[in-house]
Amino acid sequence: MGPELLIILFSAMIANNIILIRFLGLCPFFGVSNKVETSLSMGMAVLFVMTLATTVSWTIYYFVLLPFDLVFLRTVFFILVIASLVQLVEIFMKKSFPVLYKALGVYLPLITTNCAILGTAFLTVDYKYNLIESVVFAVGVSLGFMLAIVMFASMRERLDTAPIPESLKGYPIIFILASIMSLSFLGFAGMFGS
Amino acid sequence: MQDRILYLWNTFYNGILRENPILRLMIGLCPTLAVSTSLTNSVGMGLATTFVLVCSNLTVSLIRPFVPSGMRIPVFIVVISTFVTTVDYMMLAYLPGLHASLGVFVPLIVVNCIILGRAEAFAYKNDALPAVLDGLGMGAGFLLAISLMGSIREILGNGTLLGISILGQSYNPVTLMILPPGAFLVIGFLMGALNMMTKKGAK
Amino acid sequence: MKKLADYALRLSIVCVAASGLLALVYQNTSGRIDENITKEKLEKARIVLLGRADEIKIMEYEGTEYFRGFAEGKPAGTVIETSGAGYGGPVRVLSGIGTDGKILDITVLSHKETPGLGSKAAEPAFKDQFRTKSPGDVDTITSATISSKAVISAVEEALVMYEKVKDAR
Repeated sequence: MGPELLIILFSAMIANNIILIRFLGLCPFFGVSNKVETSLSMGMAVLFVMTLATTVSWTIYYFVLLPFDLVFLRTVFFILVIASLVQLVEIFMKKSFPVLYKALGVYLPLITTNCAILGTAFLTVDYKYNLIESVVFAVGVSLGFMLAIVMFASMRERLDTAPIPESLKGYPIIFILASIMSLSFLGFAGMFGS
Repeated sequence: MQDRILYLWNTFYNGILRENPILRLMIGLCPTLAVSTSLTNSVGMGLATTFVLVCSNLTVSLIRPFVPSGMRIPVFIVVISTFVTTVDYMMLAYLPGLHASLGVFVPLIVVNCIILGRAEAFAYKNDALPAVLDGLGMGAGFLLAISLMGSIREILGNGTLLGISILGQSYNPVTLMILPPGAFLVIGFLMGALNMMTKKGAK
Repeated sequence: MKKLADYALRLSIVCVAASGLLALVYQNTSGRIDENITKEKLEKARIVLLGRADEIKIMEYEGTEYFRGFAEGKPAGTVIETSGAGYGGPVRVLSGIGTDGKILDITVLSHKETPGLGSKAAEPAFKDQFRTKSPGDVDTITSATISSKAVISAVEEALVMYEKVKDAR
């Protein structure tokens, strides 16, 4: 069981990196990655919400939707779970960890529209993972998110001192940078095949 | 009356160029980069998204009296996901080929920032007709941008357009273009090109 | 607190309305969707038997589905779906096996192989080899060894299953 779980973890984290290969979670990726610190906070928040959301969604899918033949309500249910979780996390954090709450600030509500979270929940169902595999997958995906966003932020911080053609300044060069990063992650494809 | 028509036209036209959701507002990127591997896929995604966007904008605008501000986000989400599920199942039933290509991205129209963004920024604050036009305009802008990307990536990465070979047998396709790095590359250069054009215009 | 209860009530009403609409859509499309899925499967099975069968029956062996083709009421071939471990994930292959136990034709149902390289394993130049050669003699594609081997192992697995079901009625 062990080695298979490790494969799921690393495949989700690197070879099938959620941002650079699967294209999920791009909005926060480009919006938040201008500083390494904020990227780290966002990564942690995503790790927390994604793992929790995947677990709850998986449970609802297999214990409620399937038995009661309500699969067509999957999208509605999953997204409601995520939105509610984010809201609850926000309330809980405000009360119990006010310092951390302030640090995450506006990024917490932004996690709701993070397509990476919904996408991951869907993928665990599509891949027919069991509960443990789903949790490991979610952890892998969010670690991959954090890896990509932190690496990207550190590169972006260096862009200010680089000579860039006028038209490409701003977002264009950032996308081209992401393209090169994506290329490097693509090199891992097939490493964890099957 | 003329003012009204001008206002409605501007509402529609806004989404196509000046506030193009992808190239200007930078929302709705995930589906754009993922699905634009061919023109057919891009058009399919663009049309499906426009359909959901218009329905969502219309519904949100109409149920405004029933929805207090403090609970609007969950309501937006329920409305949007309902229409997305509808499109999903209708596609499965009547256009299974297209559905197979668009894969996991049909349900992901739910978190397409364009739809939630317009519900929040426009539909919730405006009447039904402007909301519909805004939906159509933003949808059209999205469709144009994603189709442009899809065409470029398909031509360079596969030598075809709409599945028809147009660069001939001797063309060795740049497969990278239809892979993830290619997507980032093309959109980066498209934005750069847009910058160049608008700067020239400003002069 | 009263506000929260009011919100919850309104949200519930919206959810009920939404579920109602979705139930309607689902009812009206589920029949057609199932039809599409079955139609597609049968069509692919027909093709992979090289048109020898005019009727396809769905059969079952230990929880796995497979197809038997009939021409004028007599068995004309068997169609089995298997998958092999590819470079980017499982490669699903549909194998059409004639009454002599040899492969008639195969088709790759789905794969996540590299476009332009591994994806060539789904193309006629490679897969048509199975019509004349046994899986062990098939030539793999240069720089697409893993994808080629995935298809080969899937076909071998189909032949193994064929041995188990060939006499089933």
